[in-house]
Amino acid sequence: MSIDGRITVDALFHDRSGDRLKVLSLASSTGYTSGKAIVVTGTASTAGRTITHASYRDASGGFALLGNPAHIAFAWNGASLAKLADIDLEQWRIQSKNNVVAVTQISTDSEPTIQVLPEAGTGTYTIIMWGAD
Amino acid sequence: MSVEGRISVDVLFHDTDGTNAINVVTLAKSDAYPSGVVQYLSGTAGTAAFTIGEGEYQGANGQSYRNAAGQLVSSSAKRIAFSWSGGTGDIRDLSEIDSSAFLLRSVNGEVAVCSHSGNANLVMSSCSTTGTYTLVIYDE
Repeated sequence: MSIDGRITVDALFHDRSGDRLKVLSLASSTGYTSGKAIVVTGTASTAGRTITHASYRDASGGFALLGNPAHIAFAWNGASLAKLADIDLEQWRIQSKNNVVAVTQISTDSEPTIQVLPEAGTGTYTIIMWGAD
Repeated sequence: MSVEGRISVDVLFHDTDGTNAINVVTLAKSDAYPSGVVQYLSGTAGTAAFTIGEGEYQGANGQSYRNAAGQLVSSSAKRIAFSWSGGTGDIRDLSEIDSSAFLLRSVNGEVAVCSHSGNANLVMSSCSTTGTYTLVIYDE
């Protein structure tokens, strides 16, 4: 079984007034035709939720490991920010609320232990990680 | 001056068996912003860490936030997008000064993005190569 996928971020803003429209844009799209992707979903409260690789699931729902995690995406459905952080190496931290998706490069050679830390309330999270073979 | 725009993130992976796409995992959301303030900063960076300051404050590299019209603006932030293009495979980090709120990593021009609530007094990490960076910061 092979894998196919993409990570695309597209930020674009422009003026609504004036004679000339000024555009600010920042975008990237990377396609993946190899490697592995895992997904983790669950609930968390202000006490936080620690996630180890034992929770990783591939697209078919089976347990999977990533040899070389490289990218992570995170969405939290609460109205207040929740932070997703690598609590072992502390090399990256991203924040989400209202299901707005956050993405960052993570590049590590081991499975990170990560933690979901909501500022307030309870909610559900979804995490997707991709790693090279 | 008013702005409108969007930030879209689309993450999708699926298994393939040669002809069919099966077992899809996806995270995708596109947020439209009909108003607000957007700050943009793009430049070249050396290997040393440096700060990027708020409003008229000049960071260590002499740069400051400007809007689409080139005017200086304040730098509170609800969403931050960041990309770095240095040497192949060289990662650069962006975080808020004296804060554990976020720490974005970018490599090879791939955009990292996350939500935020606070100012955008930022620090860019040191890196083994020189390169170019771009920030887009949105505030309501």
